[in-house]
Amino acid sequence: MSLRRFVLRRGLAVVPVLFGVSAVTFGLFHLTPGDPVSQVVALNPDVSAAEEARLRERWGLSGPVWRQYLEWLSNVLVGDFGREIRTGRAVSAVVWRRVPETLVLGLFGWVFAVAIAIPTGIYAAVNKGEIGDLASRVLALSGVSIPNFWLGLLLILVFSLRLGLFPVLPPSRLPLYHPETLRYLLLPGVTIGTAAAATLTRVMRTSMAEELNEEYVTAARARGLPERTVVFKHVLRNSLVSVVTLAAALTAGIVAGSVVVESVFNWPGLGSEFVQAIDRREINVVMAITLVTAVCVVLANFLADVLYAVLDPRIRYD
Amino acid sequence: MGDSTESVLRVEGLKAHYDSTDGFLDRLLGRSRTVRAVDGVDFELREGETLGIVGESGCGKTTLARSALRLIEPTAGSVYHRGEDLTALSSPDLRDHRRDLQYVFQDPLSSLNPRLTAGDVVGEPLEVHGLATGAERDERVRELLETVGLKRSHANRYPHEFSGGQRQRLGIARALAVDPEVIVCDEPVSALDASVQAQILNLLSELQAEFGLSYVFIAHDLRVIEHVADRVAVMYLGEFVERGPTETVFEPPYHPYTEALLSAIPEPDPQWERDGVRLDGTVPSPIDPPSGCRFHTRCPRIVPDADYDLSSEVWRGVTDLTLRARETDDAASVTATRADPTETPWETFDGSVREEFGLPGTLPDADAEGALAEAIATLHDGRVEAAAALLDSAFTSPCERHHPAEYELDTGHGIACLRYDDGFDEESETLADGPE
Amino acid sequence: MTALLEVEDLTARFDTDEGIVTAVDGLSYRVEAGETFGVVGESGAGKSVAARAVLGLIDDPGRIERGEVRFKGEDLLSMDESELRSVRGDRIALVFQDARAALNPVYTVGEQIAETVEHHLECDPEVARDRTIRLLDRVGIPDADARYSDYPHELSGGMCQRATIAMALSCEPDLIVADEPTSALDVTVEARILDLLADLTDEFGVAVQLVSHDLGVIAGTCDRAMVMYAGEAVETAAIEELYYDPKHPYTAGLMSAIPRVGDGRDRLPTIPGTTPDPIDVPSGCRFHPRCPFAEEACTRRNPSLVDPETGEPATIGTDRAAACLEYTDGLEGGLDYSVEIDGATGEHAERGGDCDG
Repeated sequence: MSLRRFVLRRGLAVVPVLFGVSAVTFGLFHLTPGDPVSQVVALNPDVSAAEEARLRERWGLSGPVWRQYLEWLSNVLVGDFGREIRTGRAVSAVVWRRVPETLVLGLFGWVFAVAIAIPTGIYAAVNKGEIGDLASRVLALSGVSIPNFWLGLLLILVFSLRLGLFPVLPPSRLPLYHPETLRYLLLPGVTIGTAAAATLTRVMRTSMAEELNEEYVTAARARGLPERTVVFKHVLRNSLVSVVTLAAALTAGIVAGSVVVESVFNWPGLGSEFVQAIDRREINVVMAITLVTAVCVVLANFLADVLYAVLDPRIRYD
Repeated sequence: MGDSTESVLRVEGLKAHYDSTDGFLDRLLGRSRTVRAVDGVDFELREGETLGIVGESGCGKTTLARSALRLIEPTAGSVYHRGEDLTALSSPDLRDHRRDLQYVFQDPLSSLNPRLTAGDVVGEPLEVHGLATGAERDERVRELLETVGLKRSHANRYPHEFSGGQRQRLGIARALAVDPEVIVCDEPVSALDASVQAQILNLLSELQAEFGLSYVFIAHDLRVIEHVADRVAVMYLGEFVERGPTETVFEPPYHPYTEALLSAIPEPDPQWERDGVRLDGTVPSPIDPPSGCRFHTRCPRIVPDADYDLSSEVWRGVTDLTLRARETDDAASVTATRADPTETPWETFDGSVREEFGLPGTLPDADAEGALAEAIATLHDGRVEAAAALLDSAFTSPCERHHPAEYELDTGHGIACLRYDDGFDEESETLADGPE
Repeated sequence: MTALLEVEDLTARFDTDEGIVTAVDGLSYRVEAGETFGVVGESGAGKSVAARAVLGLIDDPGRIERGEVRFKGEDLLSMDESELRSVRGDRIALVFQDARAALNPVYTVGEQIAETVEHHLECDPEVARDRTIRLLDRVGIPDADARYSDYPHELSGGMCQRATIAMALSCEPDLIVADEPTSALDVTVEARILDLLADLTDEFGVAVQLVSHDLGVIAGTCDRAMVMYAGEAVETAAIEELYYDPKHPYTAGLMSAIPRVGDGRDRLPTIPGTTPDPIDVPSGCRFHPRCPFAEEACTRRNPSLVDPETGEPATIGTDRAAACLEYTDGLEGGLDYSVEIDGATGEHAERGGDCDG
């Protein structure tokens, strides 16, 4: 099977997954008791039954659930997530404005994780059992065990308040393509990427150490290739195969982390919007954000599959 | 085959096919591919004898053994034990028969719980079949360990504490525990060193004499098979190509495949000259086995088309060229050099094609030479498919068209090869009877 | 006159959880230019470790304790890494048992051979590619041009082994160390690979150190051979002497244990017991617990390799050597076995007395 056919097949397989994700998202919010109308009613006891029915009609909350779902889905497919209940603003506008902020933060965290993990993992595997390997193990263990909200607060305390190196709060609207943004991005980015970096380091090390024991490594050395070539050309590519899968899976962790980290750093992204939307009982916003992040995770996994096949030709033939 | 003594296991028309579909999407699109691992095998195992089954890896030996004991569900055919068809039994009834039919693996402990002691490993079947429990079981286990040449005290050891040979003894003790009639030994000595291999082979023959066991013995090593087996079946791509009493199979006349296997054995004698036929390539895929005789794609004694006056050797070369042309879409690949054929002078190209396939500069038969030259010229133009079609229509061996039935040469010795089939008329290339 | 390869007193140890394993203990042998030298023994004999030690490829937890590996007179073990690398793959090449495992699964077969060529011959990628394809063709891989771009998993085991042989030959080395190159293959494929190896050694004039557990493989391909047992050499001889007149009881026992087609033996003579635990090797002669001729002296004194005719200690240049007390002190019972040579099919060794435990 060629790489193109493989990508096509996996791409096709993503479609039913996305439908499933949308159905689960919709179902979660619509099958739990207490829809927004009943909340409005609870807050304003003088709303009449007729008024209530009209509200349900308007917000697409009447009729059987499957019809509600289809209606919602057909709107979503053209980018319409409905309106905010209180303000009447289009949800899509609210969400889309926040997407770049979170994307930049998530990507920064992800790049930070990969940039730390791969060299550290390689170093630890090549120098297995030595002091550097042990140090990386201790650091990785701490990285995994420190809760991110606590790490965020710690970083703010040390680098912003004590040392004054970074501003504490970002301005409400960040110019994303401005170098200045990096100063605001650094602390939350590091916070969000630390756990991922720690996990990835360990996996990178294990995978690399395993590959180093393979016969083809001895064979490459027996061919007189320099150790540099053996490690960076032969072993690295093989060990990345398992790391890539994990890196994609970590996307979900980073997304989840953004909810907390954005709140801690007051970062104007999807995460903080999500928390506020829950506060405000804005079900359409919550659903939209859930769906957008779910799609991101699915796509990240798809990309991982493709990368997997690029790195390891055996995958394509399975 | 003749039926002189009673048979303890009779296999008829056994087939084991399985699906090697890529996944959900392929199944959805109906792209299923059937692997015909075992494709119509008959045999009979007589009381107290050893039936050897030999063949290269990928020929279906293990699948045959496992499907005969219904460890894998057979696709078709019957397996008779004590007059009952195992393939038709429900699982409780089958378990009753399983007691009599034991299996010894290449590494018997690789599939077992490493936390079980040797005693538990051997004792397990006793409990499963309700034969012995408690102190009685322990005593029986210790007896069994002694029977296979281990020490009674070994019962408390763990599998990893044993050497390869001892593990195999343990596997045999486990099989013996339920006092079976038949033991299927699947490559029981191929992972062992020569000195230990001899110990295990001797043990197996002692046990056979003592308990009247019947063995189905699978191995890829013909030396081992010749040593242990009373009768031998040679298997190729899911089918038996030759079977008979060991002496007859290991003496001419041979099936060409048997002959090739025998001449490949490395003899521990410095002055021994390797001669006889050589086999190229490996067993083809059982997904889409070759037409006619399945061995024709590799057979050094392929029957030439009677229309031409060509030797088997030349015919082999022509057939290899045909097969290569069919497989490839690049004319350059049929020559020994990698030059673009259309850029090479015709004479050079013609020469290198003939060299690659061991063909003489001119075939001794004028008609054959004409057809070959035309095909090479077509290849030279870069039209591979057309060349393959030309070769296909001009050169078709009867072996490609007829699936040879087993022909009985003398009592109990059968060879499935057109060369031995009296019903095959070389002039008209037709079979007097039997399937096309 | 120095031989191409001279290994002297090579000792390699492995630190394991159970204790120290001396995988190779004081091993000495030589390989002459252009000859095929066999190293035969059962698992645990130390033959693979010895093969890898030649190239300094003993990884943690193993280490080479002492000894010299002189290649063209220069000790490889005292070379630094970069000097050693210029020998590896260029002057001495290694062929592995499992060819597919010895190839990196994520690069094509051709790329890996061309990589070696480019590295050692310092040539252009295009030149390396051309050379690789010619090599692939030379080792009998049909359609070499297309196979260049195949990944290891797309080739059969036999084809992979041909490819690694092409790789070993790629820089026209002086010595190829082949570690069980055909043990993972079917007999039919094995026969072709052995033919190929014999052809190529003639054509390229390359010496081969062929490691195998199979006496049949060694008999058919080697000029001289060494038999190893539990980390030591027990016998060295020219190939015909070794098979027709084995001087060590282990060699004789090993040969008689092989079933032969047409020999009509009901029982195979065996060597009782198993290879000793490498952590706890027997005292005295390591073979004594399994040796049918062992006497009290054998349990105390470990015999060294001597010339069996004279009893003189063997040197690296000695052609015929065996390590048995019979040749220095003389065993009371002597070595009571004989070899039958059967005209048509060759010989097999039979031991006197019942030694089957």
